[in-house]
Order: sequence, then structure tokens, then C-alpha cells
Amino acid sequence: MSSDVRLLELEDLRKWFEIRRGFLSSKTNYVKAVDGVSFSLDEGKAVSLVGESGSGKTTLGKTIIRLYEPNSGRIIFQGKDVTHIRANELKWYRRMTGLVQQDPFGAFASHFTIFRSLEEPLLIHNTVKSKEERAERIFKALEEVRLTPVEDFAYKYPHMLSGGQLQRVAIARAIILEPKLIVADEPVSMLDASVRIEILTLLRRLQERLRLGVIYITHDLATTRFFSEWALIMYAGHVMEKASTQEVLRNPLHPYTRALLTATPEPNPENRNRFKEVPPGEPPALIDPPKSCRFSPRCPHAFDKCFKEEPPEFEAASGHWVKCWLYGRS
Amino acid sequence: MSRSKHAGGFRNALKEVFSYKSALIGIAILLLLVCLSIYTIITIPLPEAIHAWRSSEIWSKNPRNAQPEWIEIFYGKKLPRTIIVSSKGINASETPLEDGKRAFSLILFFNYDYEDFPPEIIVFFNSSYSEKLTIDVYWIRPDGEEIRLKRHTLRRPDDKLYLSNDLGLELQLERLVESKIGKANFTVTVERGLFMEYSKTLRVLKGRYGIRFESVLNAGDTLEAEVVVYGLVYGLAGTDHLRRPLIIGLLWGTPIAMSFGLAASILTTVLSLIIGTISGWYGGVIDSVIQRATEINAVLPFLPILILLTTFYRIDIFVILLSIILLNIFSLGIKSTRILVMQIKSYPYIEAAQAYGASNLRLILLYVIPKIMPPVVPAMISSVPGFVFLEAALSFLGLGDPFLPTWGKIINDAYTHGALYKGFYYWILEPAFLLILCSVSFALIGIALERTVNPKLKEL
Amino acid sequence: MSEDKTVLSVRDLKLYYRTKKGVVKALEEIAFDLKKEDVLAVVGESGCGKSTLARALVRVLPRNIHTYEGKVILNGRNVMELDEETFRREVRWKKISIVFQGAMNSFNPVFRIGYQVAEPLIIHDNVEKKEALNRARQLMELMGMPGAFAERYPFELSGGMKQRAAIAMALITNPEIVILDEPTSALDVLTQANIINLLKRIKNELRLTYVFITHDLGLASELANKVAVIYAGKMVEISAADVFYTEPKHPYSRGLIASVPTLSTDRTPEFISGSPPSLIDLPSGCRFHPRCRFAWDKCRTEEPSMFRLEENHLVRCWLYGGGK
Repeated sequence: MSSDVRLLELEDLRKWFEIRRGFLSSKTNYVKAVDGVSFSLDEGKAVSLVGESGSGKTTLGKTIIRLYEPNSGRIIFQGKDVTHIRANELKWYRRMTGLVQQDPFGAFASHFTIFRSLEEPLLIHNTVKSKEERAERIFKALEEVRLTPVEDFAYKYPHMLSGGQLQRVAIARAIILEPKLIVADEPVSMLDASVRIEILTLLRRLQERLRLGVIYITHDLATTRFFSEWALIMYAGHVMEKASTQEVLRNPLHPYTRALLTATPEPNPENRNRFKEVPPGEPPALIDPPKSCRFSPRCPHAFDKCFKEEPPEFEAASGHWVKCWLYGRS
Repeated sequence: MSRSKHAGGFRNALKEVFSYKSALIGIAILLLLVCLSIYTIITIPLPEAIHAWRSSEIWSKNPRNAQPEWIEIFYGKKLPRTIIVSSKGINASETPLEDGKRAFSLILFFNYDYEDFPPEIIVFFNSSYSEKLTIDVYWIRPDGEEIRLKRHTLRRPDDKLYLSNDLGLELQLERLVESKIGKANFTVTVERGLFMEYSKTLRVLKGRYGIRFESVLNAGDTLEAEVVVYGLVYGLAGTDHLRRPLIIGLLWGTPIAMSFGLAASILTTVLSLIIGTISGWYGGVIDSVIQRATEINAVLPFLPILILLTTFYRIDIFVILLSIILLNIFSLGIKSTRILVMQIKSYPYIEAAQAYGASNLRLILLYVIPKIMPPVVPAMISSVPGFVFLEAALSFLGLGDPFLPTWGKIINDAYTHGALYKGFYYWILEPAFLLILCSVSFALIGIALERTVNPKLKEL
Repeated sequence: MSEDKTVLSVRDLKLYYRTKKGVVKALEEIAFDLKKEDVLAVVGESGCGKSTLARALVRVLPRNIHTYEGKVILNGRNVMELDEETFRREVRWKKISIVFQGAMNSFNPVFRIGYQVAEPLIIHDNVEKKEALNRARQLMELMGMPGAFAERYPFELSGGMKQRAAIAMALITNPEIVILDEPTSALDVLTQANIINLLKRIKNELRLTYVFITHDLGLASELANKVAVIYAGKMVEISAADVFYTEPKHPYSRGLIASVPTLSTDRTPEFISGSPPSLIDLPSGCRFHPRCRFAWDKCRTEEPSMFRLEENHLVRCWLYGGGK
């Protein structure tokens, strides 16, 4: 891991969704799904975006690969500003990025065979001209995700495969154009526990071997440590904490991160004899979130300032950023 | 997790369709109709058919309103066919008189062994003469009796002698019959007088009849005669009020009805599919415009508009087709397509395809349309009968193509000429039967297709 | 902490479905005992039959039943012998109630939450509506919901609140046993932790017995004092939770526990390769042998029975019985 080449850089990225209240109302409201996110990722490294539903992690992932166009901020990919690119440039960016979705059963057109599904990206980008070469690429990709013998899988329809197998195909599809960055949006949350680790291990090995940048979106803190170098904890559209995964798990600083760690269930027969200390309540509505710290209404440590002003990101330790007044130098 | 069964795709679906007996019947009927259409198009070219259907001249030797021949099964007796005896090839005896004149005598014989009286007898003359030509006509019955029918003076070289509606002749025959059997308890028409057995019960005298023409010809004059004893039955389908064989109309009605129904249903389905897809996919202003258009279209009265159109424009089948399509593509079906498309648009696989760079056009054609096709195809097939009936209904209302022989037009003719109260049921039943046959075939196939794509119906 | 009174005892429960492709052997040889205030966690992969077990216990089954037999003994009475009407009137909801998977999304959007929570009481016990609503309100307050929420409609509540209401609905008739079928599967981690705390508290307060269906072994340890592992329609191991989490015996149980990533240890999680068999076409011998690292000839041909290791520890594996 010597050559740290910057792959991706986000600067104060915002994605707000417009909602119209009514036909005549001129006032438009916004769902502030991603509200000022900055971070950077080096080539061949993985970052976990951890958060609950509605934290904006999925929106952030989709904005990064430009399935959504950001409202403000910048996305710099390999030194190139891709925030608002269009047409051919966007098509190039599509080739450089891949997506693995949450629901493997819905991720494939049911009228395409696996082969045809994998052929689609190649046909669209026309990178491989001949039919034979395309078949070669497809079989190679299926081998990469260990769906062997490849002939057994290539000509099946999606409904004939299990969730785990389909998720492998989804990974094969994401890497078939030889991208540099992959967004994996909760890739294992719909799979059985026994196969989750298998898929994550596969993704991790591919990442290392193909020097892929991976953005691993998850609600499960426990899986992050084995599969990513960096972790971003998101809450209500804000990044609450970012640091190396080890650091976040060993030395969590933000009250929200701590709550998450406490709440994550671990197999331990002692558990049943104690109650968990977790904050009550629910995340705020993103149409009208608190102007101050967004976790303040639930935070057990909140004080006056927390209810008045939004905290900036403080570097509490080297490379460890926290968006919390508890760590403000004042 | 909508894991729809697309296993073998199209081929499997077809295999499944063939497993339904109703579908097989439907397909068999359809094939029959298609073969019939092909046969028709090859044997009776359209211009010929239209010409034949439009001219009344060429059918003058056909019976008027004759029932189809197979109707005999129901009557249980042999009904008269049309008999045509021509003087061609028969030598008339000519005896020279003074001044180059000739005494002309011609007997035409024919066998009559039917069990009912003919409806009409006409003699067609073909002559050339320099002065007025007068012909004496005699009737020779199988029992040897000869009746002098009348003296006829030709008004034109190709004059016709209508024996049937000759009141004088009728009176003469009535008297003759009275002299034989006394007062008859039935009316003696010309045909009866000529063909009846002289007994108290009305019965046909079977046997060899003759009709003799006598005249005096000037030098250079010629005279030919053709006797047409019209039948009560004609061919497979009978004839109409203009003596046209219905079979032509019925045969040509088949390809017209089928192609009209198919064209209308395919074009309306495909066009509304495209419009609905565009509406659901792009949303926004385009969507609003299309939705408003369908709503306006939904409240527009279909038939009055069509009547209006057909009064202003020259009606032909293409105008009708075009207007039906235009009035149907903004149907409410667009709403369901739109909703389906909006639903499919939110499926993860669409998003995945966007992520690897698929264009809108590609997404619509390869990802969305194939998904919405399964319910569309059966609906399309099932909508064919509707359009076939619509065309027939328009023809029936007199809004059809005036040139083409169609089923609807035949029914229209039958209706306006009182087929029902005159008892010419075949005239209405034949086209109606074909209409139903055609509709049933499409409906059966449509239902089977519907079942293959809709698993819930399969259990029924 | 638990009395010695067995409240629920299941013996040889068998449930087959009939489908187009063949008979689905959803459950076979299910047997367990529950004492008062026990929590039995039923764990396994999706499609192993654990949700079917939940439904079989309260007899909420689809129409295409092929076989449904065995004994379900509730306080000494075999409820399997009851006809549907008696079962509905005397057992379902009265003695055993259930919180279905995704229960929070199955509220009727046009009725107020309070009414829906009270509904079993109105239907089963003919309690007057006003009184039933009162009771629902109290129970919802016990669930940590503001009483005013009873007046709200389902769409006005968050997922966590709706789930609390679903639990309240299961408790309104004072049942002894509550079946929890993945009660937190669609919820966020913090909400999940709160609901689990709630379930613990009301269990102690109301002296309830739970059957807790889950795929999450970590979550199971939060409530369970007994764990049953189901694989391909059969129980492969049942034991006390303390034993199960420290010393799982069946290779499948071991694999399951090893596959859980943990925050507290540095152990790299492992995985069980392969996928569960189809319940229509089961493998010969032990159902787990195609995925088992330890399988030998015997496992491929003969199906093991449940071997008793200790008083309360049974394992269905040739490694532990039948002589090698």
C-alpha cells in the first residue's frame, strides 16, 4: 500500500430532493438526504458508509456514481471534476464505476439470461468488439466471482439462482467493465448470515487484486472492520465521525457511534441478563432537520451549545474527525 | 421479490398455450379462416370481386334471394336449382316461305324433377331483325299437353320475356286448371299452372318439359332464345336481393374482417403502449399532456365522432381504420401501461442498467417493454373481435366502406331488405356465423395466452 | 428463575405443503419443551422452516397443506386435537399469540392504531369497545408509547412505534406464550435495541414465555435461554443458550456462530459454503452432509436421530452418537 493515489474526493457534497407540496403551492420543500459531505478515498482502498435507514448513506453512494446529480459541492474522480458531467463524459464515468445493489433478486432483468445480463455493459460501451471476446470476458468475470463451472450458470435465468449466487453475478457485472470504483449498497443485508461473509470476503479479495476503490454501504458496524480501511458514520444526512475503521471501532468518539456500537447485537449468552443503554427516539425528518447538531435531540451528553449551533468537523485525533461539540477546542 | 416466470421465455409460453384445448380449437379455426382468406385472394382477385359485387348485370341469370343448397336438409325435399336451356347448338327448324321469309320453330327441352315450383321463369332473346318480330310461345308438358302461352313482340334485339309476372297468362292458366280439376283451393300462379300435376293437391309434375317458339323471320333475321327457370336454392351460400351469390361477399369478408381487426388491434395496442411507456418513463410535462389527452379522449363520444367523420370524408376502409386507431390510442389502457412502467422504472435492475450506462432508449426497448408485453399480447389478441364487430357494426349502420363486400354490409343489406320478416334467415345467419367464428377463434387464443401470463387465472 | 412447570410441549410436529413441483417437507420431527418464562430462540437460514414453525404453532396456515400432524401440548392439553373453531376461540391469541414478521406493515391504514390493538379483545372476549380501547391504551403506554398515539393512524407512526403497537396487539388478550417472528428485522439498530429492551422488560413484568424466531444469532442471545437450530425443516440442535454460545456441537451450529462478525473479538468471521437444499428434493442421509466438513460415508446414507448429550442438549449428528 505504498503508492497512495487519490481516487475520489468529495467536497461539501449536497443532494436535496425536491418535494412539491401541492399543485398551486409555489413553495418547494427539500429532503436534505445528503447535506455537506466531504471525504477522500485512495485507489484500491475501501471505505464503509455506516448509518441507519434514512441517514443518507444510499443517496450518497448513488450521488457518488452520479445516479443522482448533486445540488452543490464537488465530486473529483482521478483528478477530474465529474460533478456535472454529461453525455460522453458521463458514459466514461459509468464505465469507471460499478454498482452492487442490496436486492439481488431484483437486480436482474428476469427476461435476460445471466450471460445476456453480463453482456449488456459490454454492448453498451462497445469496448469488446467480437462476440467471442465478449464471451471470454463474461466467463472470466464469472470465474472471478467463483461461479464455476461457468457454463452451468451463464445460460440460466435469474430466478434459477440463489440470493448468494445472484449477488456474485451482480459483483461480476459491476467489475466487467474494469472500473476503478465500486459502490456496494448493503450488498449482503438481504442474504443469509452463512453466506454474507462469503460474499464480503469475495468482494474484499477482488478489491485488493484489482486495486478497486470500494464504497461499502452498510448498517452493520460489525462487518466494517474486516472489509474496509476507513469508516464514515452517517446520521440524518451528516457525517458524524470519520476515521480508520480500527480507530472508529476501538475508540469511538461521537455519542451516536457509541450508541450504535452498544446496540449492535453480539452472540453472548450474558446479553439476556442486562438491558442495553441506547438513546430512545428516532432520527429527525429530513424535510426539516434541527438547525443545530442533528443528533442533539437524542444525545445523552447534549448541552446548550448542541441545541443552538451545528458543530463543524473537529479533528479530535490525527486522522479522526468528529462532528460534535464535545470535542470542540473552546 | 417478483420472481416472474420467464424461464424459457417465449418458447415455453407457446408450449403452454398449446397445452390448452381451447387454444388448439381457436388456432384451428383461425388457420381455417386464414386458408379461406388465402384461397379467396388467389381465386377471386379484389378488383374482380368488387366489380362483381357492384354490378347487377352479370347476375341476371341467378335466382333472387335463393337459399343455399344445403337448406334442403331441413325441408326434406329436392328444391329446384336454376335451369338454363339455350338454343345455342340446337337446330331450329326453318321452312322457307315466299319473299325469302322463313317459318321458324324451336323447341327447347329440359327435365324438371324437383319437388317444388320455381319462383320465376324468364326467356332471354337474342336476335337481329329488320322488321318487328313476333314470337308465339308454347308450353309442352310431360303429359303431352301443349299450351299456347302468348304472342310476344320483341321490343329490342335482346328483349326478355317475363313469364312470371304476366297477369294475363296467370288468368289463362287459372282457367285452364279450373277446367281440369274444378275450382282449385290454392292460387294458381304462372309457375304452378305450368308445372303442376292436374290434381286437387298441389304437386309438381316431374318430367321432360318443352318450350316452343314459333315465328316468321325475314331474310337475314336470326333468333336465339334462352329459357331460365330460376331455382329456389343456389350454391353454398345462396343469393341476395340483387341475385349476387353471397359466397363472394362472405369469402371476401373473411380477409377484410381479419386484417381489419388485426390491423386495428395491433396498431392501437402498439401505439398506446408506446405512448403509455413514454408517459410513465419521462413523467413531467410530457406525462401531464398525455394524461390530459387520454382523459379528454375518454369523455369524447366515439360513435358520433366517427359518424361525423364519415359524413365529411369519403368513407373507405382506411379512413375508418385510421379514425378508429386515432380514437383508440389515447384509451384508458395508457393509464395502466403508465403505472406499470412507473413501477418497473423503480426496480433495481433499471437502476443497475443506468449505472452501467444504458441509454433511455435502450432501457425502454430492452428492459421495460419486454416486461410489460406479457399481459399486452393476450389483451391485443382478445381485442381483435371487438374491432371486427366494430367494423361490422359500422357497416351495418351504413358507415362502412361502400365498395368492399364485408360481413357487416351483407347484414346491412339483409336488414334493409327485410330478410328477417321475409324468412331469409340464411342471409343474416351466414355472415353472423362467420363473425362469431372469427371472434371466437381470437377470443379462445387470447384467453389461453392470458392464462399463460397470469398464473392466478391458471388455477381457474 | 423459571418454574418447573412445562407450559408448551411439542412432539413430532410435521408439516408438509403440496405444490405443483412436489411435496414440500417444511417441518419434520420438531420437538421441544418450554417452561414458564422460557425464551426459545429458533434460528436458521431463510427457507429452513422457522417461520413455518411459528405459523404451525398458532395454526395460521395456507390452504395447500399436505400433512399437519404431531402433538402440541399446551398446559397438558393436546391442542392439535381441537377443531378449528375451538382452537380459534380458546387457544389462538388467548393462550398463544404471535407478532408476525413485518407486522408493523400489516396494520389497516384506515383504522386508528388503538382500535386495531384492541381488536382481538373485541373479537375474542366480547369486551365492550370502550373498555377494550382503554386496555389497548394502557398496554401501549406499557410499550413505551405515548397514550395519545392510540388515536393516530398507522401512517402517522414510525416503524418502531408501529412495531410496539404490534407487540401490544399480541399481548392484549393476556396470552401465556408469545411467538415473535423476526420482530425487529426491518428496524434500525438503535430501534431494534430499544424494542429488545422492551421485550425483556415486559417478559419479566408479565411473566411471558417467548418463542423467538430469528436468523440473527447475536439478537437471539439477547432474549433466549434456549436455542433450537433448524436446518432444512429439522431441528439439528437444541440446548441451553449458555451451552450453545460457548460450545455449539453440530457442525452447522458451529458454522453459524463462526459466521457472525463481532466487534468485541478480532476473530475473522468464517462462512459455510454451499446453500441449503430444496425442501422438495432433500439429500440422502444427514440433510447437512453436502455442506459439512466432517461428513463421512455414514452421513451420506443414514439420517442421524437426535442424540442426547446432556439433560437438555440434543444434537442430530453422527459425530455424537450411534457409535462410530
